[in-house]
Amino acid sequence: MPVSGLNITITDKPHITSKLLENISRDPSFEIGLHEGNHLAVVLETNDAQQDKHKHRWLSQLPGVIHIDVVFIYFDEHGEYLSDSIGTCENMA
Amino acid sequence: MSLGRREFIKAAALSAASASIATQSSSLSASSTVSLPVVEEPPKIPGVKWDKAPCRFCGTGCHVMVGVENDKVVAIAGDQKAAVNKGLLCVKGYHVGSILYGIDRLTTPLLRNQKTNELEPISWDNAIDIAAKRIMQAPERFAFYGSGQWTIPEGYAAQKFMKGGLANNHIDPNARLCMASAVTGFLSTYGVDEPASCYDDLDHADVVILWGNNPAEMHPVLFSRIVDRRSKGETVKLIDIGTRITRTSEQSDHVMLMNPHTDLAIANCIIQQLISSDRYDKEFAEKHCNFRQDSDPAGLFGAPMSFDAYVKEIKKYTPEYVEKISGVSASDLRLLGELFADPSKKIVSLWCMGMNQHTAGTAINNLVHGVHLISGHWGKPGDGPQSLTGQPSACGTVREVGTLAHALPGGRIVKKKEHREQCEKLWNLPENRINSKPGYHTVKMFEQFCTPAATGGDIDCMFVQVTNPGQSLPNTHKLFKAKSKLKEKFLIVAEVYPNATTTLADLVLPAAMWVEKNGIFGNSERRTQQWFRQVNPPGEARDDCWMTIAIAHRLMELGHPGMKDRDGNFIFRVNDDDGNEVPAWKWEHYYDINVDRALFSEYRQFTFLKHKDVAPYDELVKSRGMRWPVIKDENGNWRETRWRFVEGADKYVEKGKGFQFYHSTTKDDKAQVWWRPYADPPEMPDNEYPFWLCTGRVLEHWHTGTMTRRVKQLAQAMPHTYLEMNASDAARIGVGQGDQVIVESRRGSLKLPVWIDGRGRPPKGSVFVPFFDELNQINDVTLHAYDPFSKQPDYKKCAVRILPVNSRKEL
Ligand code: SF4
Repeated sequence: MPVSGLNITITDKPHITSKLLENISRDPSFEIGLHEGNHLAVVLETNDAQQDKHKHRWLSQLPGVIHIDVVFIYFDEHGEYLSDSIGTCENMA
Repeated sequence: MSLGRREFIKAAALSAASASIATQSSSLSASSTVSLPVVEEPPKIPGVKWDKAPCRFCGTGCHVMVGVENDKVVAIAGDQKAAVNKGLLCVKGYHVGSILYGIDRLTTPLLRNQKTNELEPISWDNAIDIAAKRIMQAPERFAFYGSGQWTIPEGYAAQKFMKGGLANNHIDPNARLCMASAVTGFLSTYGVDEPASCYDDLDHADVVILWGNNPAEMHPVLFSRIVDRRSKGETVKLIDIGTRITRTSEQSDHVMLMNPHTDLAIANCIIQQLISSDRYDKEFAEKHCNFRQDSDPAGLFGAPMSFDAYVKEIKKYTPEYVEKISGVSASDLRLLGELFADPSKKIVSLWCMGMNQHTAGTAINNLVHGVHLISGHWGKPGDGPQSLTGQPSACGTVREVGTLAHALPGGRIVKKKEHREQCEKLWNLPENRINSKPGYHTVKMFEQFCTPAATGGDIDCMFVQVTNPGQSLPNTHKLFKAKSKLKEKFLIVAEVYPNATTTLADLVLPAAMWVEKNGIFGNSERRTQQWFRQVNPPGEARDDCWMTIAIAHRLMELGHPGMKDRDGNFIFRVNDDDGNEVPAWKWEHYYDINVDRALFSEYRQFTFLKHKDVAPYDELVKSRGMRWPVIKDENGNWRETRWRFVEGADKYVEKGKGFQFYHSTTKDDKAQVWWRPYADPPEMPDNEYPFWLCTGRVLEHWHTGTMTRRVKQLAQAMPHTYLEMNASDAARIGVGQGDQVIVESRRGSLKLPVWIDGRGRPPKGSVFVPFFDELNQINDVTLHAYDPFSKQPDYKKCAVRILPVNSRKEL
């Protein structure tokens, strides 16, 4: 269950911003926090890394989102991952 | 996980995000009306203990807060107290905790069975014994290959072991492959290495010029700093001079696509315009600059040149002439000339591998410094040249500790008697212990290692720490894979995961990494950053620094005289508070004392000669890094330096001087503006190999991917490498999106899927391949030609052909 805290740089156009906030708040994976100037604090909670990736992509493509910085992440998935490796496959005892 | 705990974590995430906004808002310019309190405490989660550490990856040097529970890293937050990143991290940074937990971590020493060719577990005692005995067989034929990811104490211990102990200068780091040309550029321009400016410049610049640099992917948090200013309505013009369209180009105001290697002509063209229009900064040039040209024979410090002779040489670099060479339009070249002619604009030049991995790397570094010097865009906040490093401690461990084949700590060199004597004194060694002959630089070192002893290959045994040369060296068939046929050669590799280098290792030593050990890094802006061990390494993995000390001690037991100082003490003797020796060579005692603190305090004495005074260890403990020179003020406070050589900012500049290049090679406090003409690179496309090949990195992976390919989110986001190709070239050779092609040079070939209009977009006639993928190694194809001064190879250009294959791969 990855949980991340995001600092989103958003547009300063009020009509786009209000639509953006509406869009984000409709999705229960997100929780909106401080909104100050061009920045919006958001928490994203997902079931797994895959969903996390999709939600990030969705968020980054919303009109009004300029840039997303992740400032906090809580892991519960690491420790199980092995990407393909020539070392592992061929030569390790 | 219980609901209560989840709510705590979510609240912590929200507070971290809100705090980062508050931190950013409070650092706004004076015109800002926002004023929020800065929240500096890490998020509160029951059972989680937080401590600081610099990010393990790039030279930006962001700080993270590491959340640990039950001896495991469970959370990462951007560090709000850190001036570098103000609480922000890039995608790699916030996954940095996961690099510790790939399931194939190396946890026990392994020795290759010569009969089965398998690596088999052995004890640490045996491993240290084998390594020491191999070195003892022929200490002069041993080489140590290290890293810009070495911590400062690790690099310092390796340096002392080799140059002070074995009297052997065959020690070089992988940073030779990434920033050696920046070193020679700084040395030949200012007489001393490392950037004079700092990241604060990015908060003040009106114009940022990116010379072959893609910070949106390579130094994302620094790029974020610029983007953030723009999002607040500030005008920051971005000019991207490069050889392909990147994510950085997409945010740039002007993109100037140049023919590979022609940055030399472009820089000369800017200077030509300033001089011909009489709009260079005469006062700055006269007071603070000399002119310089190549000497015969060529040497790093060259020969003097008159201003008139310089003007005569540079005259032909008109916009029209350079347009023909570079492919950049004369009007764009004029735009650059106009910008530098305008004293009211504050201009920062940023560069990294694009300029350094260049067979004329020293020259282009000289030229970009020259553009800033002659235009007077130098030494004011937001106005000056800033080179970046790719590794977290390329500056701290390589450039400052001097872990290069020709160098000694603190900016000294082995060739200078006086420097050797100073080191022998500080290390309490007998006179003449240090060898005056520079050792082998990286390419030469591996060439010698991969050449049979019978035909002159005089490196028999090599120890590799904290780097993956099996994948990162250029032309790997020649410089690395050839070792597989040489049974007499012995490769010792300290690693955290199996990788391309361990595949040929004879002895593998499992290493602790990042917050599994104490450490100190030095980032790209002269900032020295300390952290403590926060979790235990897995299995029997141990610190690299301990390995060096343990091998040194075993060599002493075997009778190597160099492992003792002039009083007969072990060269790595560390004492407790009562003056009793702590047996730090025994792992069970290594953490009885803070060995990092002891080594760093010893090293610190070396840093004063070149005015690179690092802060005392205990000051670093309290800070999020300090930029040297760090000097105690009259109130007893330690003060860092933001701009070197600038009166008021740098305590070493004499009053009334304004600017003072106090390590000037001409001993007159002046910097050198170099005449560096354009010349073709050693390999260019032709009928047989008609494409340029450029290689590089991607946002998700760090260098050869040993760490980031173990992080699920990063590996899934960018699972394998690819070949970026221009749509018209693809159509011409009959390949489409995802089709497999063979990219082939005179040195090797590789099968890759084509990506058209993807992450980056190369112009017609050139292709780009990232090098992170262990399973598809583009360095089988690259060229190992290098800069004559820095010996840094050029990974950015060689000639290849592209052959279609009838298959397709998911992109
Ligand atoms: S920009 Fe570099 S130092 Fe900062 S978080 Fe990303 S990888 Fe780490």
